[in-house]
Amino acid sequence: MSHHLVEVKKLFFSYDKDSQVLEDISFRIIHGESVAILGENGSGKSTLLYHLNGCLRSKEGQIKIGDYTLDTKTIPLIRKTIGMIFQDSDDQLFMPNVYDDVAFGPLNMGLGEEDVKNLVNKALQETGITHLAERRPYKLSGGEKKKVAIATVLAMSPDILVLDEPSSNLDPKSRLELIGLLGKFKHTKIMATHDLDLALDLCPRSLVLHQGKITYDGSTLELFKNDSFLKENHLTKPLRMQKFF
Amino acid sequence: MSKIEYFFSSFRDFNQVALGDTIFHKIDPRAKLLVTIIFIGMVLSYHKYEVISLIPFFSYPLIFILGGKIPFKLVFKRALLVSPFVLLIAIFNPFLDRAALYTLNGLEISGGLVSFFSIILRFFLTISSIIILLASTKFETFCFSLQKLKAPSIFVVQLLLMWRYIFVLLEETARMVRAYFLRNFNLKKGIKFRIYIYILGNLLLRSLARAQRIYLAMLSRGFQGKIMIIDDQKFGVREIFYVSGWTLFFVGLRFLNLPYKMGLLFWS
Repeated sequence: MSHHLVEVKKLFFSYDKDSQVLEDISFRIIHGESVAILGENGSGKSTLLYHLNGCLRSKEGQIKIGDYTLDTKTIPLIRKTIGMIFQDSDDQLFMPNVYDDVAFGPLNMGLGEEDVKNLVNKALQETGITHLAERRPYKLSGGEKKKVAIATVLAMSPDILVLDEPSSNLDPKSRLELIGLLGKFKHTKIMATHDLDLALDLCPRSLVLHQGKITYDGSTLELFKNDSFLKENHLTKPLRMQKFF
Repeated sequence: MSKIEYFFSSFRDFNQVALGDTIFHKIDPRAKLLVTIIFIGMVLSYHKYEVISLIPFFSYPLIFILGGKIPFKLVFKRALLVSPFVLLIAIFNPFLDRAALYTLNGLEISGGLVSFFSIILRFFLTISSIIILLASTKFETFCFSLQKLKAPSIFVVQLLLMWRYIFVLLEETARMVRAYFLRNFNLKKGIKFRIYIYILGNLLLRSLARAQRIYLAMLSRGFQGKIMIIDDQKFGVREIFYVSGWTLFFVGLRFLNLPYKMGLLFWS
């Protein structure tokens, strides 16, 4: 049994009757893959991610994480499997200090105090933020907050990491550190991003969403070679592939 | 610096004091809370015309302020902030209760005037005991103590989230106010009432959206209605001595009536 498999079949979703946000979404992601979800603003990237751990539920379509089909009974199990990192770290870091925030997930999993302490220390070490343990989240820089957000999820030992705009609001140095950090993880990774260079660095495979539909599912490098398709889907090449002069 | 930014920075100052390292900071918040309740109970137990007997009770906040290295100005300013409400309650006493209670060199002092001063003294005693409790305790630690004292989880969660996000909200408000002033050329008049309503409305909508996202983030990490932490605070021997010591002190002050005894000493 592998919890790393993510399978979405014929998923439809709308917030209201007038507009369809997700339309006939189907894909399959296997163990260890890193997949970028690309698309213009409002294309449904974040909405799709929120479906993967049951934060949003649709009446049409099926989502399978490993052997579990997502429904009310399996949501707690699926949330242990999928670690979700939100776009705005301030939304994710709700506890008064970093240590308590990282411990929040493992404590909710019902683990003993010693196990929780070990998991928290391990997660802090992996993300290189042991020195921030006693700090208050609102006093951290954007890059530090992002690392803490990742640590909060890693402490729950998830099989799959789901990241919503991981590099948003980060300065160049913090962004590079984040790419290095994410590159080290062997987890299955799914990330919605506008940072095309990050997608090229970390994700061999990409899904493109355009007006709620998947218009591309394949190699990231091949995607960025197709100028006319990128233009149709309101995308561009990553900066490093563009010729400015 | 706008008023909101000033309020924000003073809020942070208060928060900073709670990170101190004195014995008063280290005591388990449950013990401090218990002592505060006993103290308030003792102060409120006096008759409404009692003034002089209350004065020795100022020794508690004074010892705490000195021992806990809490800036006196901070306590006084916070107490003054709430004082108008108490003044509003007490101000009518001299008018409603005019019967003479004491005569001092032919000057009649009404019961209302005495009870007015009694209320003001009690207010400063009780409010300063609460301020020093909060100024010497990290707010989150205080909340988790409430949880241990079986306060409803929903109440504790609300308090904790309010504390965590008050800074984020204040920052957002400060940004909006700054944006208003950058596009407003009549700086002398301040913010128009109508604009305040727009700012508050905007803030409410943003807060609702943020609350929704925070809740999703909490659910994603297994939240089931109760916030748990690894608890290193213990109610030990030190706390038992702390509570029993202060209780004995308060009982002593309450029943020995020190000002009366000192008066006898000097006048006899």
